Amino acid sequence: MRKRRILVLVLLLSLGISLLAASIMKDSLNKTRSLVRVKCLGCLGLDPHREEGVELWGAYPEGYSGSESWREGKVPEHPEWILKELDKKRVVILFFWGEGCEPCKRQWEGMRDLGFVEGSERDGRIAEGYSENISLYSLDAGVPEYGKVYEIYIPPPGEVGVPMTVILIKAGGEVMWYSRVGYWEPEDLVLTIEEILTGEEGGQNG
Amino acid sequence: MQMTVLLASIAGVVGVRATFLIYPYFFCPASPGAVAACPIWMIEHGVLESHRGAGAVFALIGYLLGVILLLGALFGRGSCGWACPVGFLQDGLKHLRSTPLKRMKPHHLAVLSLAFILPTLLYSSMALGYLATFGFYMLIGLAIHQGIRRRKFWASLLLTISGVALIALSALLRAGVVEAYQTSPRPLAFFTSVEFTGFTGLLAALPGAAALFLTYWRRRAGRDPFTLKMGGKERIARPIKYGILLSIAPLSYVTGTLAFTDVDPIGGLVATLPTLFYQPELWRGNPTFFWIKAANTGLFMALAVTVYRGWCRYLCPLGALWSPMNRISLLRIEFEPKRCINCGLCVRSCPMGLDPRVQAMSLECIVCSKCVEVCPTEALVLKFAGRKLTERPLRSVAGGDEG
Repeated sequence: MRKRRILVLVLLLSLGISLLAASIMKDSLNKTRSLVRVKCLGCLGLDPHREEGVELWGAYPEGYSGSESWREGKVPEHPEWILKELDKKRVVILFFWGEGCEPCKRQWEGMRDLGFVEGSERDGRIAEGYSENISLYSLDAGVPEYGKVYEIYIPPPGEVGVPMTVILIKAGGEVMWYSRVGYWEPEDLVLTIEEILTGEEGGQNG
Repeated sequence: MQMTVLLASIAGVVGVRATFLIYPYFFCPASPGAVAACPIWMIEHGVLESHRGAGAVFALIGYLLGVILLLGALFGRGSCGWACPVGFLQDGLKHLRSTPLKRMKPHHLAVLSLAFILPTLLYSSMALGYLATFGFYMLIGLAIHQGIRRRKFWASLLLTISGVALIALSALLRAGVVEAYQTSPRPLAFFTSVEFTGFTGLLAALPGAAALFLTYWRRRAGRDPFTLKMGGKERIARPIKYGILLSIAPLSYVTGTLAFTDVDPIGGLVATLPTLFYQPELWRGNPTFFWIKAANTGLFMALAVTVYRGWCRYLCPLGALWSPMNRISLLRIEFEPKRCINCGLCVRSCPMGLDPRVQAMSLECIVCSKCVEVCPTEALVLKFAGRKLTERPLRSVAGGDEG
């Protein structure tokens, strides 16, 4: 009996170590860390709605503490691909979502119902009527590569969670941005974008 | 030990960054300051990754299984007994009257609880959020204790009435009949918000009503209402946790959500409430799962005081995941029948309601070693890889310390 138990123990230990090794080769550690880093506010039952207006930031605002490089004393830079996209379009929108995130799905479906986006959040794109001026990227914040971009745009005071919607524009050669954690009423979001497109960008937008 | 584990679980409060580790116990990664992943949450995320292919699923599920097999082979279900903060909370509610709290009067506890809560009125931070939450639960625990353990009818009645009043206030706030306190400091506004009044109302009213019912029951039936005697129903109730565990993956797959995480009461305890305390402005809209979570949290509290380790016995899916590992683990409680004098101390001390003489290291055993501590003849011994971990002089049964 005892010998059999030891045999099973050795077998399970070996299986456990093999599984760990094989999953690590599949990037499980980075994947897990990325998932832990992004807080699921929807599954907390805390899904923030913001009623305040949109304030576009030229520099990182006071209280910003999101990205690793900022904590190390460096000012994080906008990714190159976003800067390139801003040279082509007036507005770039980053929509960060997460697996199983109910509010993300709700916001995306709301934007789709308004005819602002098409497809699902997995393969989403801006609707044709808006595509001339706007680039939209729907990004899974749990994917390590996008997780790094997510970190750059965490709004003050280091508030994390999905959905997170980031608006970027280029005004007078300067990149300005705003990001909001939590569900954003699709009508308000679309209205904000339309106001920016009609020339109110660069200041306080209600 | 469990307190240290709890503090390590929320190391993000002092600036520790998110890690790739998995908590070997039930703790929500969405808690303020959480630094690791929850095993149940890993199962759900693994299932939701299925659209990316087998590799993506394996990265999470394979990693989790590897951790479970490795730690399980070493410690069995020991993390439930030695590390789990939820177990700690349940132990706290059970031992509210044991040392050092034994000598404390109820009003001492009430003052202590308020001392935890009040600082959040002056300054809001993650650490204070946890302290306030701890104080909040102490207050509820105190009221439940007075109501159920001490059979103080007034305490249960007060708890129920205050809970119902808070729920009514929440409804009035929602309807706009009364206005919430709007000025700073922000936690004050939170205390008078629709969400907080509703949440606390449920947390008070549900256990209060349960206490009233149990007191009434005791008076009618002449039995102690504190210990909800499950008797033969234990056989039916204990497998529920396996059913919950097995349903998690299919539910996530079908609904496309973190189905269990969205409503689980532990998230309400260790994540939702502390978050609300330190960031009360986080949410102003209609909650997606808030009320289900709040109701489940209330039910959890009621269960925690009516059945010792009731969550672990009947509902915890993580306990169900660990339990098969008890069969082979290196950490073991062993029973030597020749030394046993059948004093029954081990049976009375077991938080899981087992008879350690025949059920030590069964699927239900959490290897907490409370039976080992009370055994006067060392008939029960805690061993790791065959080496005895407890060395102490034998005690007489009459003079034995029951722990």
